[in-house]
Parts: sequence; structure tokens; C-alpha cells
Amino acid sequence: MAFLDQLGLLSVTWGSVVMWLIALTLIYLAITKEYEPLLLLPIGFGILVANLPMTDLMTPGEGLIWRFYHYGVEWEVIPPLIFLGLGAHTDFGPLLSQPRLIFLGAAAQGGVYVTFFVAHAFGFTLEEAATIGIIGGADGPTTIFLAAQLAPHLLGACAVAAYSYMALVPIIQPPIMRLLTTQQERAIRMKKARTVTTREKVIFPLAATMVIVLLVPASAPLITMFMLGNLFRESKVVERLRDTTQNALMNIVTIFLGLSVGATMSATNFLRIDVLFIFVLGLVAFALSTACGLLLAKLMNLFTKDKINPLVGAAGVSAVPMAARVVHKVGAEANKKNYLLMFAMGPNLAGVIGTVIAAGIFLTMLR
Amino acid sequence: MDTASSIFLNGIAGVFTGIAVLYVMMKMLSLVAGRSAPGSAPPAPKTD
Repeated sequence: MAFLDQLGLLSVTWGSVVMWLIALTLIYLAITKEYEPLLLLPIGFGILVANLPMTDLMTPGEGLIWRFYHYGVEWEVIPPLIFLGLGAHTDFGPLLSQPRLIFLGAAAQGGVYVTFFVAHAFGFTLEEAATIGIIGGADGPTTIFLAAQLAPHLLGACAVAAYSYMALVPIIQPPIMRLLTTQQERAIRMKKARTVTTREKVIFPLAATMVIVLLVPASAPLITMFMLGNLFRESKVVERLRDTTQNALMNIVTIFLGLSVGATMSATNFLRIDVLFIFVLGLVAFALSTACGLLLAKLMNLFTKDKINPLVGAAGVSAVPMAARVVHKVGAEANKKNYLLMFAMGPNLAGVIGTVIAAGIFLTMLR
Repeated sequence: MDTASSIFLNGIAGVFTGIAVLYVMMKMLSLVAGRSAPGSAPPAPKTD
């Protein structure tokens, strides 16, 4: 009865069943609550199929999804392509109109490094600790990019933690914002920003690429693609390329990214006590990054004439544009005339750049 | 732990240095390209 010996049903373990439940929960949250559905839906499906026994989908050299993972993620192809699409979506106008807000994106990386230090103190290796710390940047592709190179065995857990916390920004950030600011501070109305010229927007991606890559060469794969996508957008002479990178290409790579990241989460990889730690430390990183951004904004207010609403510091974590929207909502609760969305987009974009620089520094020192 | 401290300090310093250089670059960019060129205003509509 060779057929019966090959029944997958006979190889089901408790671990597989638990992973199916996790997969179905993510799929449920993606469909019914629309929590980051573009990523959590394929990730959930990837988890489900990777934990069906005897499929060989993730068998090295043979499995279908392993090929997506190997050539897409391990070869550092997909995260930079996601950044190409993000760049084509991004308007740097809010950042260029208020350059001082870029420091809030740097401050938010404080959570990344503090968590890195704490994770290492808890016994994680330096590479693992860096991968856990970068969750605080709330940037999925950067987390995946770094994890694939430093701690591939943690990739699935870190990616799911990053995307989960990005989806939970409206729940996690407001209590921290209210705790660290007064009603008066939240009600601050910021001075109207100047208009940014087209010429500035075209030159910025070129100049920023050169500056960042000259300082942190290891960040080149992400930052060059990000700025190339932005140049497509701002130059306005390659509308077909902008449209493709912004829509078709981004959607295609998102499918393969989600599916292959989910498929790395086998029961043996995921059902471990240290994964629980990763989720806790990831949350700590995210909360600390939010707090660091807020506190730097308060500090800057001690030295500046035009006051910054400290809430915009919370948008220094990447999570574009969710964090900026949450800042706007909390600011409007304090002062109905407050319109913080465009101000918060500045630190939000600075957070993306800051997280890429932080990842580049980790790679430089640990690879 | 020494290595961790070194990465921690280098990381914080590196991120702030990178961002500070970008800040200077953006300020220079606003000086060089931040104002519309003279005469770049759209021409008045023809009345005939």
C-alpha cells in the first residue's frame, strides 16, 4: 500500500496544526479587518501551504516557493523592487518644505538600537539582535532585507511582527503620544510650509542617492531603487515606467514576497520560545521608536521659534502613511483646526530613509 | 557586549550623521533650486 504510506494526513503533527491556525488567523485578519491585507494574505497562505506535510514546496533546490524565496529574497531582489515601487509612490515635498523634520526620522531609530542592545543582552546573537531591532523601524521590506542577510531563520517571525505592528499603529501609538505630550503641546498649530519647486523634487533623489550611498554603501540596494522610483515620478518624462513600478511591478513582487516569507515559517522554525521574545521585543522597539521621535520634537521646541507639534515626531517610524494619519487624527482631537497630515509625512519619509541607513550600518558592521 | 556597545554607539552616530548631511543637502537644494526662476510664471492668457 505505497499510496497509503504517502498520505500527507499521516504526517500531520501538532506543530503543523498550530501553524495552520496561525495562518488562518492572519488570513482572517487580512480579509475581515483589512490588516495590511496585501502582505498578510499571501503570508498567511504561505504559512498554510508550507506546513502541509510532504509538499516539498520549501525543499532547497526543488520546491516551487523555495525558488521564489531563494532567487527573490536571498538574492536581495524583491525588497529593493518593493522600494522601487515605494519611491514611485512617494512625494518628498512635505520633507523638502520642512527639512528640520528629517531629524525626527533619525530619532525614531533610537528604538531600533536600544532594542538591539536589549535583545543581545537577552542572549540573541548580534545578527539576530540587529534583525529584531530593525522591527522598530516599522518598515517591512527593510526588515526582510536585513533578516535575509543576517538571520534568515528569523525572517518569517520578524516580517510578520513588522507588518503586524504596522497594521496596529492606530492602536499602539496613540497611548504613547498622549502619555508623552500635554494637551497644549498636541494642540500646537504648525506654521504653513513653503511650496517646493519641481526642480528641487527632481534633484533630490539624485543628490540623496549620492549622499546616502557615499556615507553608507551597504544601504545602496534599497536606497538606489527607492530614489530611482522617485525620479521616475518626479521627472514626469517616463510615465509608463512610473506607472509600471508603482502598480504592476509592485503588485507582482508583493505576491512573491508575501508567499515566500510566509513559507519560511515552518512549525520547527516558528514554534519556539525565542519567537515569542521577538514579538515582545519588536513591540518594545516600535514603542521606543515612537517615543524617541516625540521626545526629540519636544527637545527641538526648546531651541526653535516656530514650534513643532511633538506628535509629528511619532511619525518618524516608517509605517507610511499610517503613522502620519494617526498623528493627524490625534492632533485633530486636541485642536479641531489642526491639520497635521502633511507635516507628519515629512518625518514619516525621513523614517524610511533613517531605517535604511540603520540597516546599512548593521550590515556594514555585522556582515 | 563590547561589540554590541560599539554597534549601538556607531549606529546612533551613523544615523544622525547621515541624516544631518541630508539636512544640509536639502537646505542647499532649497537655496539653489528652491525659488522659481525669474520669468517662469505662466504667460498671461491671450484675449483675442
